[in-house]
Parts: sequence; structure tokens; C-alpha cells
Amino acid sequence: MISIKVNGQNKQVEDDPQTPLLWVLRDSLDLTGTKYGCGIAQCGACTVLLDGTAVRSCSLPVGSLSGKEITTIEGLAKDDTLTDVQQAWVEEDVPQCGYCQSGQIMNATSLLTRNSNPSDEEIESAMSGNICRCGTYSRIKKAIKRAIKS
Amino acid sequence: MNRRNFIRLSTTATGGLAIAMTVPAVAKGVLDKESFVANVLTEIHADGSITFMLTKHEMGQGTGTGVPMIFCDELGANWDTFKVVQALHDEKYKRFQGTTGGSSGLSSMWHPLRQMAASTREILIRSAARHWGVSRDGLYTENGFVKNPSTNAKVNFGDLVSIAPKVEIPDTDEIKLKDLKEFKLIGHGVQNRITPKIVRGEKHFALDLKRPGMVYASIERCPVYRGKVKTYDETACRQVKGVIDVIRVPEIYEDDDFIVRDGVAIIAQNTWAAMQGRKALKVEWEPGLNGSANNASLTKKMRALASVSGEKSNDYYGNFGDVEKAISEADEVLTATYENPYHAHACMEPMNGIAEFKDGHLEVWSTMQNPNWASEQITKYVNVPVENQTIHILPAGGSFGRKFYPEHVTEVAFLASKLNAPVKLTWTREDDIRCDYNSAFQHDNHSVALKDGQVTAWHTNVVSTKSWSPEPWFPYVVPNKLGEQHIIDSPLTPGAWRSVGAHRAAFASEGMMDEIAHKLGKDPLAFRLEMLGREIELGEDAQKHYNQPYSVDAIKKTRQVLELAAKKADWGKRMSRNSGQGLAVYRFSRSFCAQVVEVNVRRGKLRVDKVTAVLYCGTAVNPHLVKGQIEGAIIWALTSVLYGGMDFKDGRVQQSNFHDYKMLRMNETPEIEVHIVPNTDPAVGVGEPGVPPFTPALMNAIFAATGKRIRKTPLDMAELA
Repeated sequence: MISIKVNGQNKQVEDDPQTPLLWVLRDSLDLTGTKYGCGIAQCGACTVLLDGTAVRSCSLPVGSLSGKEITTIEGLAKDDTLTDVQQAWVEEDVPQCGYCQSGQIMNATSLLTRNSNPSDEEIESAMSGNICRCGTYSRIKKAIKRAIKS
Repeated sequence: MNRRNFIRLSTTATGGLAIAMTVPAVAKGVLDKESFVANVLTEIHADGSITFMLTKHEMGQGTGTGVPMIFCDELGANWDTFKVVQALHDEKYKRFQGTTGGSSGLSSMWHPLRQMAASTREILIRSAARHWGVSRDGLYTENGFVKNPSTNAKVNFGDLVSIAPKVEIPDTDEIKLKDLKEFKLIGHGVQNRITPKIVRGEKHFALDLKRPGMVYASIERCPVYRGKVKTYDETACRQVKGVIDVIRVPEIYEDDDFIVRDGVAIIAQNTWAAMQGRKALKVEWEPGLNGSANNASLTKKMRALASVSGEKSNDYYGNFGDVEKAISEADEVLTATYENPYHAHACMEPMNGIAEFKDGHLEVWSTMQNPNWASEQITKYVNVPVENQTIHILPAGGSFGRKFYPEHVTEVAFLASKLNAPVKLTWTREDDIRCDYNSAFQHDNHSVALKDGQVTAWHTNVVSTKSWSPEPWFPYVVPNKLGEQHIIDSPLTPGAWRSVGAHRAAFASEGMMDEIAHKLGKDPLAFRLEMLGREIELGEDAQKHYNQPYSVDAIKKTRQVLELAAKKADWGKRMSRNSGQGLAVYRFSRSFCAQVVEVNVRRGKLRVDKVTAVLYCGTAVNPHLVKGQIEGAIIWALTSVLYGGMDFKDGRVQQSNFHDYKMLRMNETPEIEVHIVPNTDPAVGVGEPGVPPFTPALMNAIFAATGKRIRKTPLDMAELA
């Protein structure tokens, strides 16, 4: 049994300690906002926050996470109030298929936590780890800039 | 909801339950205490809200927003209380539930939905007239109410649900469609319906669902198309923690459009355990007829056919005149071959599905562009008759043609039929890249005869692996024309890719147009406009071809998008050293798209600075989403030029994941500007038309910047050095 803290709640899971956090979230805890895209930390669809910093949950064994704070897309909005980043995504109406967007939002959230006013280059560099096959990049960038202003 | 008080069938000649789906009128009026069933797709509730059944497949192209907008706006309903529900696969939706693909969703729904909505609107107006005891003349609908301008009275649709079934159903000729300028949503835009769910990470895709007692599957498939399992050993696999079962999945080969690959499924307690189980499985493959295929041998085979006359094909936009004679009398003949590799779809959401088989009934949750086909395959290969199937169609996390092929549905249905538990099947990214239905490997050979500074003949000879229609299109006026093709067996699974085959045909013909323009010393834009409008002597067949309404319309719209793109991009402006502009235009699914690409090539490094796109798509239903589709299509095409192309050896795709099958990322994305040609024509598709013109426009820009003509994708950067 492994104890982890997800979105402020303590959870006990029976998964093998080697199981990547992604599959624990999705299959064991039914938190399916975090997506599988590649399994090798190349696409960013599985991005979650670990103590506030963006990490790739597909490549993070759950056994290494006790005592850490994990935040998933489901844990961003408080009492149904969206975060600035989520709200900016709504206002720019970013998604096309939507599959990669929770990872994009988590990564953008992490970026703005450590740098409240990133330049265009800093945004591009920070977000270049997240693939969007629909090609919503310009709207993601606009949404991040909108979130900076708010 | 079975509290129906009575059913009243239409008194019109087209009346009857089944016809309700095929007539625009409200053929079935069902009074319910809470709702009025206006037609097979629409139910109006007593609280004024409306439930609308979505029969098209949302996969990121925005159809799940655009299609309901058409109905809502024509009806004059309130978008905020207009609930859209994805329809199950069902015979009753037959008319509306065909394939979602080929950018045909909006164009196929535009007219029928407007007629159905207008009919419903007339019923509500007649209901309000009866409610108030006034004439229906002058009454109109707005934002969920019927309004009477002479009394300022208004009544909510919901308050009319008990009257509506009693009023006379309007005949088709009594239904008047709205004028475009009356629309409140269409042309103005609404938020993508999926956005609020997506930003919260709510359940949306089939992969997000869970059934009680569900087990998880991963399938080891033969890496060679049509190859088979020779032997396998599951001993070690069964010892992996969490593995429950190992099930042989035998190949189903119907034709090149439908194949379930030979393989072995691992069933486990969770996805990760199933994947680990696969690693412990030992399989020896019998690669079969494609076991020695590779890029070089296929390329060689194609090149050998370049100068061999293929089968005459009408697919290449008209065969007329005497091409041979014109070529023999030419001052010069320009000949070029444009080469396209196989590409993968690489949707972010891998193929997946859930199935549950209980008491002879099969329930499936999955993503599919073609539910009828999925259902047929289940009937045929899992032996579950259609009346024992419930198929839930979930939105796709990208599809681009991939989820047209329903083998993932057949796979998971097959596994469910062998298990006593619901099962979720997840393809890995490696499965997705290696077992795709790839776009065709294709060489387009063009020979163009020039005499006295004019194009006198155009000969196309396409060599392609089996594929869907190559979607060639050619609006330009030439007196002699011949199209031929060689279709050869494909060593990789052939399939439809975003823009089906148009990206390949466009790359070649629009590249060739640029080559001819330069050869004749003409500006590529001026040359295209000249070729669209030239008054030359044409034989009878050619005249017939160019005078048909289709050709006349194509020429008009092609000119429109070209001229606007040139204006918006400031075509012909002074470019800095090492920079250049390139132009191309193409038609797909009745939409026309012209693009101007600006590049800089310095020391062998390519930088795409800007893309200006102009789209004619009839009425742009939801402009923000339309523009997003074009931006996405450009990024899609640029990705294929820079990183596309499957490498295959011994019949096996060599790439496996995003580290070696790369996707364009934010830091590589050029500035993209999209303009829509304002017009009042019916809406046509927007998901794919942005793809075909990009690659030729890019290559033409590279030529303008460097004088180097690139006729092969993916782009070999060494050629720019």
C-alpha cells in the first residue's frame, strides 16, 4: 500500500511501486483528466504538478512520491472557480479535440507560478515540451498571455 | 421517457415514423407532459430547453458545435439552454449518421437541418398563434420565444409543448428559411461546446470511462502488414503481476480498408500491468508477403513506372484533346516527379475502446468516424447481431481519418466476447505509429508541353500505392489533357489521412504551376490567373469540360481566394535577401484555400516566417473555429514536410514514438493569418481544406528564396545547404 496526496486528499493505492503515476491516477483513482499520449515523457499530455512544478506522470513511479503534493487538472479549480489559466483557456476558446489541453494547462500553470511575466521566447521554450496535434499553439500562447494580464 | 399521451403521425404525403428522418417537416408530433418531440433529432421540453441529438462525430473539427448551431439558429432557439447529446448508433438516425469525414459534416447537414428547424419554427409559431388567438402572420421566433411585435407579447417555446402536436404540420413549400443576415449565431460564433469540460479535465473521451469490474487490455500485433503469429509463449507473461489472461486475436482481413492485425492480447488488472505483460510475451512472427519491403525498394519500383503509361483515369480532371500530338509539336516539354512518403496520423488520443458482453448483448464505448461500419464488423466478426448491440460514440482526441477505420472497435468487441468482464483496450503510442492506416506512398509525374509561351498540353502519370481517391483537382484551362495512374500493392496498411489524397496531388500540380511560371518568366500569381481565364481555342471535349457549372464555379472561386490571398499577403513585396514568398491554391470538399508562405533560408536553415491563408468555405458557421481548423491544417502540413514519412525496413515501420516521429511544437510554429471570403453560400467543410495548398506554397517559397526546387517530402535539409 502506498500513500500519496492528490489534490489535497490522502489516497492509499495498491499499485506496484514501479507503476507510473499516470496509470495510478487514471486506473486506480479514476482521475482521467490526465492523459496518456506517449509514455516516454515526449508529449506532455500527462503533465501534473508535483509540489507545484510540472512533471511527466507517465515516467514517474508512484513509489517515489510519498509525502509529495500532486495536483492534477481536476484539482485546479477551487469551489468551481476556475484558475486564471483555466479562465484564459475558456476566453481564448483554445481546444480543438481537447486531448492534450489538460497537460498544456498544467504546464502553463507551472510556468506562471515560477515566472509571473514570461516573454514570448520564455513561453515558447517552456511550452515546447507539450505536443498539440490539432495545432492550437497560437491560441495556447494567447491564453497564457491573457492569464499573465489577469 | 415513456409517458407519451399520444402519437400523431403527419398528415402530409410524406408522413410516417420512418419518413420522419428523411423529410424536413415535423412528421411525428409526440405530446409528452414534459416535451414535444419535433423530429428524430429534437425534443423541446416544458422548461423551454431543447435536447438535440448529435449524429456527427466530434473529433476536434468542431462539428459538435457547428452542426447544432445550424438547427438552433434557424429555429430561433436559446443556445444557452440548447442541450446537445451524442446520439447512439441507431437505425433511426440513418440519414444523418453516415461517415463523418471528407470535411462533409456541415455541408451534408446544412440544408436538411435548416429545413427541419424551419419546420419546427413554423409549428411553434402556429402554436403561439393558437395560444393567443391571433393570426400567425408577423409572429417570429427569437432566443427561445415566439414573439408578437404588434402586442409585444412573447411566449417561451416550453409553454407551447402541449399545443404544438395539435397544430397543422406545414408542408415543405410553406417553410421559409431565414435570410443569412437574420442569424444570431451562424457567422458570429459561439464557444466550442467542449471547452468548459476540457479545461476542468472532466470525463470526455472513451478512454476516460470505467465500468464496474472492468479489466484492461493491450495487444501485441504483428509489426508487418498481413504478417502472422508463428508461435508464442505466454508463460512469463502470465507471471507478471496483474496479468489475468492471454487471448489470441486472429487476423481479420476483409480488404485493404479493414484489417484487424494478427496478435495476442494481454488482459490485466490495469493498463500498466497489461503493457508489462506484453513485454514478457515471446512471439515469433511470420512476416509474410510484405516482410522484405522497404523505402528504397518501393521508391525504385515507383520510379521505374514514371515513364510507363498507366491506366487512363478520369480521376485526373478530364481527358481531352490530343496530348501526344501537342507534346510532339511542343517547343519544350517540362517533366517533373513529385514524391510523397507514407505518413502516420499520430492522433494524441491513441486508439481505444471499452466493450461489455452480457447475456448476448454487446455494449461498446469508443471513438469512430463511421459507426455503421463498426456495427457491421461487429455483426460479421464477433457474431453479435445489430439488435443486440449498443454503440456509444465518444468524441475523438483527434482523428484526421484514422478513426474512420474501426478495427479498434472490432478488437475490443472481440475481447469482450471472450471475457466475463467489461474490458478497456488501449493502444500504446508505439502501436499507433507502427500499425497505422498510412496515407499513400505516391509519385506524381507531370509532363507539360509549352509552345509559343503557352501551355498546350498537360500529362499526369501518377504511381501510387493503393489508397483512397487521390483527390486531384485542376482548374486551369489547357487544350489537351491526359491523366493516367498505376496503383500498386501497398506494403503498409493504406488509409485516408487529413485531406485524403489531396495533399499529394496538390504538392505536385501546384509545384508544377510554379515551375512553368518561372520557366515562362511569369509571376506565379499572374500566371495562375492567366491560366484560369485564358481564351484559347479548345476542342469540343475540352469546351464541354470547362463549360460545366462545376468548372465555371471552380475557376471563379479559385480566382477569388488567390486574389484575396495575394492582397492580404502583399504578394510581390520586396523580400530581404535569402527570403521568398510562395503561393498555392487548392480545393477540397467544395472549399477553396489559397496560401502565401514566406520563408527565410540561410546557411541551410529553413525558417517559416508567415503563412497567409484565404479560405472560401461558403458561410463560415463559427469563424473562430474555422480559423482554428486552418491554423491546425497548416501546422499539420508543416509537420509532415519537416518530420513526416515512415521509414520501413523488412516491412516494419522503424519509428515508434514522438522522439523519432516528431511533431511540430510551439517554438517552431510560424505566424499564421487566416482570412475568410465573405459570402452567403451554404456552409461547406473546413477540417481538411487548409492542408493541400501548404506544402506546394512552402516549396515554391523555398524556390523563390534559394532557386532550389524541392520535389520530395519530407524535406531533406541537406538540399538547402
